[in-house]
Amino acid sequence: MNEKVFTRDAEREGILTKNQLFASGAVLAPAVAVCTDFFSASVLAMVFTAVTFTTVVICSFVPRRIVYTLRIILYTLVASLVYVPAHLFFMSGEVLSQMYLALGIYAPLLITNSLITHRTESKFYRLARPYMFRLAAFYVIGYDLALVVFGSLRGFLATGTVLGVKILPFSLPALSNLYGGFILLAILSAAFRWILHSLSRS
Amino acid sequence: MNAFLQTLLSGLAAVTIDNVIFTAAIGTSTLIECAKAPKHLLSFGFFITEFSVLSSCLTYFAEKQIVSETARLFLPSVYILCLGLVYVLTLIIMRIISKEHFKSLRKYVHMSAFNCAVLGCIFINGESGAALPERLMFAAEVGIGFILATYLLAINYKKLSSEDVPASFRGFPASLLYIGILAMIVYGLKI
Repeated sequence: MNEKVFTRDAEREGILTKNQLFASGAVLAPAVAVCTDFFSASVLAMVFTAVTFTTVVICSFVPRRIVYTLRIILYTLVASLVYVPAHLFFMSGEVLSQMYLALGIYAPLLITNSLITHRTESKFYRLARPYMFRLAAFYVIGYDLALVVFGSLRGFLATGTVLGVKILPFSLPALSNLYGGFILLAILSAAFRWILHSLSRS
Repeated sequence: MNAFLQTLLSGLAAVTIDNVIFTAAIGTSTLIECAKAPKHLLSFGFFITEFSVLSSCLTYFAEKQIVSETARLFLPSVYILCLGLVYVLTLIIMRIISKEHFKSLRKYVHMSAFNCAVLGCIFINGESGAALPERLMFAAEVGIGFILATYLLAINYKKLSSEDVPASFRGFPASLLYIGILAMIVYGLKI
């Protein structure tokens, strides 16, 4: 019973109330700059998951008696080392590597994302390990889902097509630009808040 | 005189129309956090500039030592170590200079060290393969540009979070919309 309640709480927090992209505004740069369609969003989500979750799990074994200054260096150093096999994996397939290379510096930049540098200390490592792993997983899933929704919608509105099939009678190519990304994310974030608020009231 | 003016103008262009916040979104999350406490804007901006400049200098020399393709895979780790070194040295120097200042500013040093603005600057410098003076100039521009962008958001942050703004848009979404409009202006000025 408790297990179910814990999982439901972690799910709700990570995916809804504390959604890292729509509610907390964390890790914005890669989302706004390179997440322009479903495919780029999916690849970014995969890199984010591989780097962030693995780092959070490994770093949970770093002793707390090490001073904060060194701990934070250690966390980002572990993330940068975790990034190496992830980079090699994404470079192995021809199609995948093209999509991965299109992310440019935004892929390695994920090693300093706030889930690793801030949430670990302020939230995750204050909790019991099994629940912390679950919560971290849902935070990552929440960000990934938001990223895919944002990327897909952005691509759809910017081109008016889905997988090359014209669906909308118009297109908004400006949404592919950086400023278009900021504006669309602002609108989606407000809509997300409104939905959450309506759900909590009902 | 002409050369001085040219440098000044190109520096001004770099922190305005080539500002990495509005052209590459690098450091946006940190910027929004920073705009909430504008009192410490200058300290924060100073540390970001310091970390960007000193780390860019260290990484320039570190990159020279790394030649093989396999070793280059570990460049992000090398960057983190360089940044970590500057971070620790900054804290030690602050502690030696004044214990009081160390206590009050420590939080901002932590926040400004490991974020996308500083690491993004190091990565862009690494990708460009530019000479040391250009790298240092770019790093300084990132730091000063960050201060300018934060100031532009901070002066309106209270209004963006006020009761006049619809509840769903209040705070974070309105700030994003505002940054989007600024980015659009910068985009328009560039073309």
